[in-house]
Amino acid sequence: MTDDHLHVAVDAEPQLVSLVRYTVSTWLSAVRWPAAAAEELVFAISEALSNCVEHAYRDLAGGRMTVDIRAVGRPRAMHVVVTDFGRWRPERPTSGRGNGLALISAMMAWSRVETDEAGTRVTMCSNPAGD
Amino acid sequence: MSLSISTVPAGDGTATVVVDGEVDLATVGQLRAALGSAARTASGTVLDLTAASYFDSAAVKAVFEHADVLREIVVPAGGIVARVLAISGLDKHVAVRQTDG
Repeated sequence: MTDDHLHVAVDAEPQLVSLVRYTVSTWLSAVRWPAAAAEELVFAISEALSNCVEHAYRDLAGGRMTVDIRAVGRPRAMHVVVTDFGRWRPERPTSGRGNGLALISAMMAWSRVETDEAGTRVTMCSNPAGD
Repeated sequence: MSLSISTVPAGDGTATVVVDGEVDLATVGQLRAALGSAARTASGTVLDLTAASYFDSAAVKAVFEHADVLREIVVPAGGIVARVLAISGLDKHVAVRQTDG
């Protein structure tokens, strides 16, 4: 781990999502990321990981999920990639009733979801200077 | 990861479900059980989230399931939980009261 990059890989298990939240939160604090922006970032990453747990490996034996965070640009922004290697199902549109992707989209400067045979990648960017 | 949920009955037959800690995919079953139990025994439920340090979309889904018996949700003013409830539209279905401190 260097100052400007964090990589975390865990099994896609519900009880491990909080562990990743603590890890990411501790790292953001160590690199002096603003607290309010850090809270949003931790939330968005946790939602993406929950999607991995709930959807990607539903009919599979299980697998891994990874988080990569990198500080980029000037003024600095945090660029995040959450990856799984399963078969992701889009959430049913439920008019916002606890839709994780809607929450990610509202809290991040931008975000996108890409799915292919290898798995799913959620890429997002948080810019505390102005969302 | 810690979550403690207690249900406090009030004299008027209503109950307050007090959430202390983190509600996510791993712990949402506890919230669902507490809300379900309060819905069966109380004449109305208040959900107190002032000590909820984390409350995600899985938790919001559980609250939507019991929205018809909820009288009020109490959250810290201006915090991320208040934002999550607003973005999810839960505040259109249940009264949300924001408290200072």
